[in-house]
Amino acid sequence: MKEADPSTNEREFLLQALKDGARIDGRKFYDFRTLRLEFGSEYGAVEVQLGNTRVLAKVSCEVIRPYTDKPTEGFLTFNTELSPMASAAFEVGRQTDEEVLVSRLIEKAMKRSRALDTEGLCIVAGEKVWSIRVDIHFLDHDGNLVDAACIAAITALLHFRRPDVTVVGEDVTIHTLEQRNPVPLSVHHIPICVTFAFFDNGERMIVDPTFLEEQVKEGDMTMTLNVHKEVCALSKAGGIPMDLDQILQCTRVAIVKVTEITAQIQAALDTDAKKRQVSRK
Amino acid sequence: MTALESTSPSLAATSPAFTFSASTFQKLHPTEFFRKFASQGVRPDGRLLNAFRPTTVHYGVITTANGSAMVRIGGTTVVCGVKAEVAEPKLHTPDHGYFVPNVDLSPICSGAFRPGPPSAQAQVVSESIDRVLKESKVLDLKDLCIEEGKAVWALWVDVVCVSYDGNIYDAALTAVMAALANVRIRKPTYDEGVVKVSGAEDMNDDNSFKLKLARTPLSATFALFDTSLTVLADPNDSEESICDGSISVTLDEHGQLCAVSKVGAGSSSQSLLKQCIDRTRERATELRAIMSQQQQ
Amino acid sequence: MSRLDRTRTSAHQLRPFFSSQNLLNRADGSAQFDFGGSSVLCSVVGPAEVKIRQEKLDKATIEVIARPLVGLPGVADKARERSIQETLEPLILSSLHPRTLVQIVVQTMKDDGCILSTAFNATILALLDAGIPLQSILGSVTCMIDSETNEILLDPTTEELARSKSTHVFVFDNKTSIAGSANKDQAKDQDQDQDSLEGAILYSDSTGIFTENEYFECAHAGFKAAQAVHGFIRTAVQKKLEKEYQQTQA
Repeated sequence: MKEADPSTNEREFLLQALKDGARIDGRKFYDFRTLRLEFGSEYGAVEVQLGNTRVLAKVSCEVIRPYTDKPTEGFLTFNTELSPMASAAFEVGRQTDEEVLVSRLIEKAMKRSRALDTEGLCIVAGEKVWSIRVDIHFLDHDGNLVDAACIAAITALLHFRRPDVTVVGEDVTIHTLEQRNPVPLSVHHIPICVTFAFFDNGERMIVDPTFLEEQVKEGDMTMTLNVHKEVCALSKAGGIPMDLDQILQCTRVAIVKVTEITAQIQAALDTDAKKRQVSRK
Repeated sequence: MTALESTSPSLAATSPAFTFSASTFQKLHPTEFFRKFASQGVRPDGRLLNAFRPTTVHYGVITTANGSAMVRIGGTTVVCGVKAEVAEPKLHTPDHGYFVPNVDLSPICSGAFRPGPPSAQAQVVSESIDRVLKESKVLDLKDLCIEEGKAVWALWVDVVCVSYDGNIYDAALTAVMAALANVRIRKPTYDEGVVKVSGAEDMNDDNSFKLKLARTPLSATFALFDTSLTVLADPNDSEESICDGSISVTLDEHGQLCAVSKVGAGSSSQSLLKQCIDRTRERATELRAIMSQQQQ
Repeated sequence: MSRLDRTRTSAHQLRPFFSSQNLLNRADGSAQFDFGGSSVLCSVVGPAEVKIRQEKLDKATIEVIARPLVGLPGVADKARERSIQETLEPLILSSLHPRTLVQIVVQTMKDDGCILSTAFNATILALLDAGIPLQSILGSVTCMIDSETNEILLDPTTEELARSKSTHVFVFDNKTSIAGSANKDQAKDQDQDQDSLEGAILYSDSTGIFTENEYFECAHAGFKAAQAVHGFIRTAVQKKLEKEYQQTQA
């Protein structure tokens, strides 16, 4: 099923509103939609809602044999297949260019930024390592899948606990969650994606575009940063050309957003941890 | 498709303007065509509603495989080959071997199948067979262990359909069970990380072993025709295409049920299921007789 | 008799139900259904444009896509898709919308056993939410037979399933149950009739090792439990409609 293009009226209305300095959902240009984080009963399951966009991330782990040339490295894999649940335009088994781009972006932001310490996943060098798997399920598509997915993925990794292990010589014992407190993963830093959409030859730029805004946009750019003001990834694939100044302006905006989002993630994790402590007692 | 045949002028006054030849009628209205037969208690291929097609089982049809069998149920022919390979055990089950059943419905057996990755139907049949073997614990996977944590036997159970005319599940399951009963594996020796399997001399009881099968599940499938849920035993391809649902019952030799599935069509009463289970008992006994007859 | 699942005291007790309808923005209909720690989200799109390859001239094409919680869709998910699709085909009045597609996506959200049953119940709620015309409404329950005690346990958790001798998934539609409850009124004085009441089986999938008697005992227990599911679905739809009505009034 092909995605229907917005009508001329919708398009003109949105563009005119932007010219007048307003977005049709009432947000300011540099506002994110309301972000909601909800944790499942298990460790490593988190549902993220960014406005009407909805993403579920689930982290799981298993013990496997490492590659012979990298005997101490654990594995971190992402599954970002887009589900037709999010939008009927996504087909099973056939990826559109847009889908490939979204998947690559998420992988770049999360994996290449070395947010997770894969060496810390080693149990016995050359024999056993942890393989961490992040399944990202897109449930509802109202624009900006990348930012929502990254928030879901990193929050799930931070929330996840793997079973504790003890190694005596060659023997490896994996303790169940009841036997011993599970161990959190060592996450180096929290990369957060901020996506910008450009209109009017780059005159207007907004963050966190909705689906309609994405359909009408002239260009976009996704920045991945952490709270230490380090840029992890920057992706601008096509669209209108941008001035260097504008990109620097984006960075300044992005830093503010990243700080806000990181704080919200931390707060949500803390609340959940407290809840778990209470229920254990 | 043949053209419409006009009737002779003398008959035209009493009968409708057109009549079809039987084969045209079948092509145009396959369901109505079948309904006419079913109302008389027979099927277009001459069978009664609860009759199975003639079935044959041949063992050892593939000499290079550790075990093999060919099963023919009417126009459906499947070949099953079992290959045993020395493999590394999975990390969480160091003393368990494993088996991987796979059913291949390739374009060779019917024009309805396309080349490429396995069709949904092939996957569903593979999964059903895998579940029956695992859930009814046909094999003790510990029997397939050579050295704990180091080496085990992996059994690749491949079913290839050569000719497709319906009821693939019964044919495939019978072939798998016959092939597993036919398996002979050379006794391996394990010595400091090396598994040796001698390959020269002929296999006999001293240098090889057979698989211990805890039970032999066999199945019977029934298609459900129309809203009246007329039960058709062992449906062929054309019957499957006009039926909305099916009932499959799998039994072992002690009369214990291993699997029961009822999919599609409307709700069926429990007595209908009971009727199918009873018919399966008869069929399974026949099938076992055919299998043991051939084995000698 | 105590259960491995400490939250329940009896073998025939189901886990608490939860459902929520119309929670997705892009789909035409959606619903989530929970059996305790198991949860499935289902979305329905349709009747919509169909690809020529899938087109049926006299009825709508029903497509079901099942997606696992962890990993890529595998053979087990294909089997689940098939089960749901073949059960729904006679249930949906698909001849009302010829040459269209009804696409159903079933996503596991939490897995603690009985996913197929949870998925069936989520699907029917999502179809109701999407306003797809249906012939009847289904309700599904899973049960198992414990390998040690030989007891029938309804709605088992993953932990309990590990000890099962056999597992049985049943689906019953509400047409036969309504007929059943009418019978019950007539047979008020005859208690025996109530007990001999049996449900017509819409879908059944059993594996393991079990006897014929055990199978029909499971069917009987499943049928009784399915009445609770039917009741719940009815209440869920009723509440949703009441809420919608209030909103239009306001």
